[in-house]
Amino acid sequence: MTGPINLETLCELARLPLPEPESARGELQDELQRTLDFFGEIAAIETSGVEPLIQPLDVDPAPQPGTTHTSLMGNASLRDDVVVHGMDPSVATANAAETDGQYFLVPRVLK
Amino acid sequence: MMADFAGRTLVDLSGDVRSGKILAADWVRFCLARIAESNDTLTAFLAVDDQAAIQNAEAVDARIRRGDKVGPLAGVPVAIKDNISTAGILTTCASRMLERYRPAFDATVVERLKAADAIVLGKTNMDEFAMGSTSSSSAFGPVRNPWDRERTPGGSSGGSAAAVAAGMAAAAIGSDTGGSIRQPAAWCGISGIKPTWGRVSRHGLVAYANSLDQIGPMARSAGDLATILSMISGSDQHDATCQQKPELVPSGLLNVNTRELRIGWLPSQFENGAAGDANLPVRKAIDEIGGECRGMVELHSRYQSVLCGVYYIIAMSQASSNLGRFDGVRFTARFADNADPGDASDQLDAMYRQTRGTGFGREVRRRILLGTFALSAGAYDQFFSQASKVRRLVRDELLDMFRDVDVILSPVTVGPPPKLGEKVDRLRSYRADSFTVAANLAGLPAMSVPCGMTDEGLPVGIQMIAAPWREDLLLSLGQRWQQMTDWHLRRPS
Amino acid sequence: MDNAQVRVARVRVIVGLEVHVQLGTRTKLFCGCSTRFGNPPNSQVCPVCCGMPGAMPRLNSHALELAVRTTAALGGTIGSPVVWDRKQYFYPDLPKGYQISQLSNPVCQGGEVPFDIGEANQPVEMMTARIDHAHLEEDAGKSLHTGGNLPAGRSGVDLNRAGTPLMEIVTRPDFSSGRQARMFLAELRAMLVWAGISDGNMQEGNLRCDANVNLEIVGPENTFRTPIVEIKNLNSFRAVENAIDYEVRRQQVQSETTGSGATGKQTRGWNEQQGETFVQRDKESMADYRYMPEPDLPPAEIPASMIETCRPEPNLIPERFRERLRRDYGMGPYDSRVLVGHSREAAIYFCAVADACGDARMASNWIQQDVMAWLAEQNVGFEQYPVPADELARLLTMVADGHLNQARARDVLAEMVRTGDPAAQAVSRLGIVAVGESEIVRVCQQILKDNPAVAAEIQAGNLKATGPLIARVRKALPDANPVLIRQCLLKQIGE
Repeated sequence: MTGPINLETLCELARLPLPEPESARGELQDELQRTLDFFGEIAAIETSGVEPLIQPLDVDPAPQPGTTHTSLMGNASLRDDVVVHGMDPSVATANAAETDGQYFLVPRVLK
Repeated sequence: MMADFAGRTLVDLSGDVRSGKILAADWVRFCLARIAESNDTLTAFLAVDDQAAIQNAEAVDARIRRGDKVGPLAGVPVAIKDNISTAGILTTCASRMLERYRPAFDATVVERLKAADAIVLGKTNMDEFAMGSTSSSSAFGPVRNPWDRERTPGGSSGGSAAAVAAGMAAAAIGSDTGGSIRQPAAWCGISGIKPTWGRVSRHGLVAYANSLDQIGPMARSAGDLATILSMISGSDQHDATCQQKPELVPSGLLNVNTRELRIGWLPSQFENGAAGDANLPVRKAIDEIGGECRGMVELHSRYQSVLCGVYYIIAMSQASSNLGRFDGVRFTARFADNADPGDASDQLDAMYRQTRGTGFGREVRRRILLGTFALSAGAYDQFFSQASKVRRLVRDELLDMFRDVDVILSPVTVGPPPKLGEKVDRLRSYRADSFTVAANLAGLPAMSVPCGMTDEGLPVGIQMIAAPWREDLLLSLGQRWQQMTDWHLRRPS
Repeated sequence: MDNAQVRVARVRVIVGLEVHVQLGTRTKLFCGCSTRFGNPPNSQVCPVCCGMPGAMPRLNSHALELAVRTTAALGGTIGSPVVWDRKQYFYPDLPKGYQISQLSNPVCQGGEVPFDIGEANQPVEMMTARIDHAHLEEDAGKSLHTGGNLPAGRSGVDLNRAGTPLMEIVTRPDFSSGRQARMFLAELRAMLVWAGISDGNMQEGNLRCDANVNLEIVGPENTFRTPIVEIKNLNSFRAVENAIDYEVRRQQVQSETTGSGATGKQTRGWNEQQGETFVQRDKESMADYRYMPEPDLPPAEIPASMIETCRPEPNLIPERFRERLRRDYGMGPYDSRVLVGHSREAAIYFCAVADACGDARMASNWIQQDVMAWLAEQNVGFEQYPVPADELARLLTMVADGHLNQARARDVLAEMVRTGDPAAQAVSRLGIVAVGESEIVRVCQQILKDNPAVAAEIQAGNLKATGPLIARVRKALPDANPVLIRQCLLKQIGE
């Protein structure tokens, strides 16, 4: 049902290593393929005209009483544009694998 | 002489703490002793902070002695699943990727538990990044079931379930993406509820699949769940999807007249050996509960056979996206040898690959690849989009059912917990989630409470599902059931 | 034709722009961190914009409002409810491994920007660029590759900019030259700045632009299009124009040698020093961004009536303002371009001065010469000019009425700027007293008497000779109006 997957492309997109040794690749490929075939069974359900459901429930914006409908005021899921202090650089970088206390350091990338 | 902490509910005990009859510090010491005794075998906890727990409990006791006001969870020792952030305390998600990660902030649930004067004991073991149903994909060793140490406690919140079942904590916080609270609760003989999506803030929960994930309590009884749920729910400035529905108060959650409830069940869930003999106690409990309520309605679903496919496609897609941030740069471990492969951008890519290849375990890598595929250019329509459309149909069908019934009863699992090391076919284990995933797909509240034992003496749970925001129906019915029966009082020897 | 550099007439140049505009909010799109520029690395970050596990986004209501204002200014249709998509790729300065953006239902759909492609004192020539859509998204962080105290072989990642709200405005391929694209961009920038949507600061990267360029080549046998090249990150008007024009030439030369669009779709960069574009990424490595709907942000409903309240007044649209200066104030294309081109404050100041003194030409001249020169020297804007419009108007009225000559008026203006005094007070502070007509007549008679030869010359028709005489009168009466002196001299010679 599902076209064959390209393990190399998937690993590249997901930044994961290809399994070693090479013989392990076919095994993984078969296993993934089998799972995808199982997933592919959902094609049997007729869904034309059905909108995808992303969040299971409508989030109620709960407008405050008395607010007009010409602004976003009272939409409870929004935030006011007010600065809140976050973390100091030392806290932000505290868990970093490599840092000079200011920057997160990575192998040099040149654009 | 220590009080009997293991045999009583949290509600009783915390009442005694507040009235000064027992000391919070003694309760905490009792739990710590249990942990010291059995954690080596059970591996329920990954981190325990004895000193802080005792100090905090003593502080609560001191306030009570002074006559100061204390919170509704004063002195209650709780365990937190390790995918929930605790400031300054390791939060590893049972993964090598985060083996040294100490968050800069507390998850909202943790903050609220502390504000209610609960005592955080430590962090519980789980399937790596909550991806599994046996708690054996942990990078730090599998959790064992207190009822039978050769078996899995279930998962992914297996450490939390085992901790409560073994008396190592009065209650625990778990997370449930496709059954991860309910299934281990069932297999460990405790009660656990996955609230409505948006009832409890997910801020601080390391996301597996955001639109399915929900945090919830695990404890001995429905009454205990109600107490904790009322303390951790409610809108949160850090989680825009969390809603301020009418505030939950324990009494309100438990005072529904259950005689008025219409009970629904799906006969197909007991046919074709779907649940086998293992769920005979469930079938029996449905009749007993139905007899106590207003009526029973037989329900039929058109989507039962595709639920797991839909669920796993959505879960893995979102997981592949959520796990992109684990890249060896800001907070994860970095696994990279310093050998210079030449080109600079190759070196960065090599670092990514090596970090993610080493930091993530096998099942996590597998799910990332499948999710990546389901979102990729050629596959999106057939997989992610189709799954999201079927998800709407599933949800609408369930909401429709709730026009005719108030609570749907069903099995939690297809059978008893497997033995550790037993080779289970992956697809079979994915299919085993078929009773629990519907509630996540539809965002509904769902609970598991003990309802019997297998012939081998292993606990069996029954699932109760209600319409959005109707946790009160579940908890009231659960409490009524626990007044009729004593399954929830049984303890592993 | 505009594309003069294209040597073959059967080539059609097709250019579209993607403009990234930083919205003028105090805080980031999904968290409360400051958007200020230039602070120490990683000092404006929190768990949300660092992409820490468990941190969740919450939408900045002001950013959403500015997006609605942008939609209103562009004349687009609101895509409500506002929903989000994750665009996924790996890069060290992209903290979450994805960027929260909008793919399926951008906040602004359609729209157009009319703009003038005439320059300097050329006649007005209007053109309209269609807007395909504009969407909201968060910016990435910044990677530092050299400098600082970076260890060898390392790049540093600073996330202060990560999460800053951007509006990406995507045009249809409506431009046929670098110049047109540049003129459009200038108009768009002014529109956004005037409407308070962005500060448009290009040095700080708050407005940057990608250009999509290709050619349609109509040959004798066949017609074909060269593959689209996207030139990334153009951050000045000059770069936009030069990069597009270079790319047009390059593609033409290439198509002539290969006979067709041989290479696939490409991403190129612009090297300002060399004046060349260069390959950044070619088709083979084009990314699959695996867009996925963002599950953590609830859809935000935009009230239908909001778009009306956000529509800018005509006065706040630069081209409408230029039109008004031409129509209501009789300004030519040049003056209206300069006044409006300076800033919205300049245009409003001009109107106030012209209205109060009744002489638009004079107001325009003084503002362009004196006021703008001073502002440029001080490097400040009109809002900081110490002379209010009505006081400048009073000063100009004195000049028009002959009470002050131009030179003395400049002294007075300098005094007004220095002290902030009203015109009348500055005049008296400088001790300038109005010179009566009888006084001028008396001095003129004396001067003509002293210079009979010059008087005769003027009488014979050499009006140029009046100049030196006027200068002599002014030496005696410095505050006298030269126009009056001239009139008086000619009258007496005529008698």
